[in-house]
Amino acid sequence: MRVAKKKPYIDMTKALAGFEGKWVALSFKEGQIVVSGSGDSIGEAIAKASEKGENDPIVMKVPSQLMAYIV
Amino acid sequence: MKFEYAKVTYPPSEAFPRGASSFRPTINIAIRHGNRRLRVFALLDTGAEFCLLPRWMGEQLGIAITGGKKTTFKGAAGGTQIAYFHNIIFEIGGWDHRCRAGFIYEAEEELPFALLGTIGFFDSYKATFNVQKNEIRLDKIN
Repeated sequence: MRVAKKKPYIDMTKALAGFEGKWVALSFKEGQIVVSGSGDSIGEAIAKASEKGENDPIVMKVPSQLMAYIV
Repeated sequence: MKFEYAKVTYPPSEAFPRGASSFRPTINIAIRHGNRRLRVFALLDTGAEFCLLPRWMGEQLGIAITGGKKTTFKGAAGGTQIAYFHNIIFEIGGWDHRCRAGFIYEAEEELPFALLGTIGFFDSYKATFNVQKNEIRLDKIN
């Protein structure tokens, strides 16, 4: 049986490591998520991303602890 | 429209001593309300009855959350929660999708993503999930 080759995935845990409990502004670079700005408020994260030239980031509050979601 | 899964890894626990990882069907979207726009991740949640967003997204969009129409619902843990519904627009893969979505007003810790559920989303899209190929496909139903 031929097994389909899996495409690269977005590694969310790797991108968000060290930002637990913080607000982050995220960008896509070469198919992966990277943190462009972070802070204790969403405004701070967006402002820091803007300083780096990212003016339309994806925003998120990173959970304080990584765990599974059953919603 | 095709999207990729996001890989999420969890630390070791009693049930999973070596930790665990899963592929979560989250896609990047934008939400609009009035003249405000916010880019966020959204979980494609076929088990959710309707579309739900955390309070912080509503606040960023300038929505007076408690001014919306109220409903109660239960999550997987069984607790009752309140959501206030407002008309918003989702931008998904370059397409505008009008939706009546609920904003969860009180939560122990706010969700990092929006939830796209049956009423207001999957009733307008055919979704194909293929974890093995790392591919999510959404087709709009006319």
